[in-house]
Amino acid sequence: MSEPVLETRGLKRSFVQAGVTIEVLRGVDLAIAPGEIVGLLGPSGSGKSTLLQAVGLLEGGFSGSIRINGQEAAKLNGADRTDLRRDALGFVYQFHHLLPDFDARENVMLPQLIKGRGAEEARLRAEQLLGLLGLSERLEHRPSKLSGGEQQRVAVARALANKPPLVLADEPTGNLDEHTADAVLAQFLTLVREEGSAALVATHNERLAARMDRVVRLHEGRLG
Amino acid sequence: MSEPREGDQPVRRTNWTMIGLIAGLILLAMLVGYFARSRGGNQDKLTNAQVSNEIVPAREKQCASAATYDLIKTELFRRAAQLRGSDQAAYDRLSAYAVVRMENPVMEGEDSSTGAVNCSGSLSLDLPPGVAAAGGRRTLVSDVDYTVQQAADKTGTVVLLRNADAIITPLATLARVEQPATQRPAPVEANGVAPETAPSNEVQAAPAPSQSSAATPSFDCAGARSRGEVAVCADPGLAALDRNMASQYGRAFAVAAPEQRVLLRDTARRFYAYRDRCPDRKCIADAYVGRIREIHDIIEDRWQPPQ
Repeated sequence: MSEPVLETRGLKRSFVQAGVTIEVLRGVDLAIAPGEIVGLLGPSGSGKSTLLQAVGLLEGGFSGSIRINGQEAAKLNGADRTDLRRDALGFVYQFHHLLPDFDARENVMLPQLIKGRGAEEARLRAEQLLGLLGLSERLEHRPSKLSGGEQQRVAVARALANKPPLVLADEPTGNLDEHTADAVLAQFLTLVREEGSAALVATHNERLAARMDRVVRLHEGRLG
Repeated sequence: MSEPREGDQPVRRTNWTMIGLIAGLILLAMLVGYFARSRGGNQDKLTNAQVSNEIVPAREKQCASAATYDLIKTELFRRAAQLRGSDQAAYDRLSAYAVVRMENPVMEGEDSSTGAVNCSGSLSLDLPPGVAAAGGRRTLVSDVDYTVQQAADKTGTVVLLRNADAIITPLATLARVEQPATQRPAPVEANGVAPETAPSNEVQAAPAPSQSSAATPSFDCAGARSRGEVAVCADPGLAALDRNMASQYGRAFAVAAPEQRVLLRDTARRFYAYRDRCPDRKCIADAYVGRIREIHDIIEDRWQPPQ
């Protein structure tokens, strides 16, 4: 069996609010195999976003082990963590966070250019991904000129632009109506599978989670 | 020993001068006592409210000071280089030639325990000639939040920057762009400042950022006479700053109101006089950066005469 693309052991995180310590994660053990799509279920406030922040190397303050592509995150300095985040991870958030001054194609080109890919190659890749997501006619539209579903599909293309081994998605359709959410999620899952990436998708929607390879539930800071 | 008799006592005379003097001293002492009690021992100190009113403007100024903007610029380039994962040295160099502008800087609040000042504003970063971000952009803009505070080790001021991804992400894609063909544009002003030809928007395939090696300012180096002109013609970095400034000037002049045009011309003369008195390269570079900021201030009606 190949090495997990993501593995956490004993992952803990607590916050102190008004003198009270709140343990959000109480020792999370999770492993995701390459190409596996895992749904992370849990009610609002259960710590799904905190877990994604941790494995996305976006925040500190955690204890325990996080291994991404075989690299132990705790042993990396700031620059190496940035490199690992850039090269191994793709992110899709509930709100698209597209750059408003750049059109759809440019938003998908940006992470490729940062990684060092040539402009022409990045453009072709962006157009290919946006075409697969049905946005060939929207390449030169800025985010403000796109619908919510279109914006989120551009965000999906951006997350996959560098072919990351792991995509982290935090309520990727939580800001969309039910019909659009179904369509965007279907396209997201199809594209992730076609690209061969793995994904950890946080949602509180049981129906959407059922379409993934496996579901884990976050309850009282532990996975059930 | 016999009792003295009444008739033996000396005659006492009333000394009105002495009485007046003593009364005056008593009155003076009473007055001093009265004022001492009524005004207290701290009458020469500001009240808390007065102190607060004096400090707040100083803290507000931290949100809009040139020093704060320089720290923001440095932080933008540092984080962009970190995101890119390479070219830190090149980014450091380019940072010196980029220009940061902040519109509507506002003090949002302060942390009295740490002295940190929270600010927000609309940030623009003008890239130096010869490089561009994705899509050929040479100006990157974003609404940002930033905190100005003392460094933990008390070695100076630091700026914590938030919500700047709209600048940092494209800045991490920085690449060289094709330079326009060398030509001498016709001067538009008596001070010799002419608009720069717009650079090509074609971004080369994944190059590292680097500076142009040729020193080609906005003016003809064959006619360089003043110390400042000679220095600019000998230094590609200063030449790039000169082209940037000339470009900004040309664009500003084209849209300026009559009174703004007068200001642009008058301040240009002072800038050239200052630049030509500069003893070293850093002074000249700083003068250009200040001049570019001044041009923007004039066109946005924020300019104030130097004190």
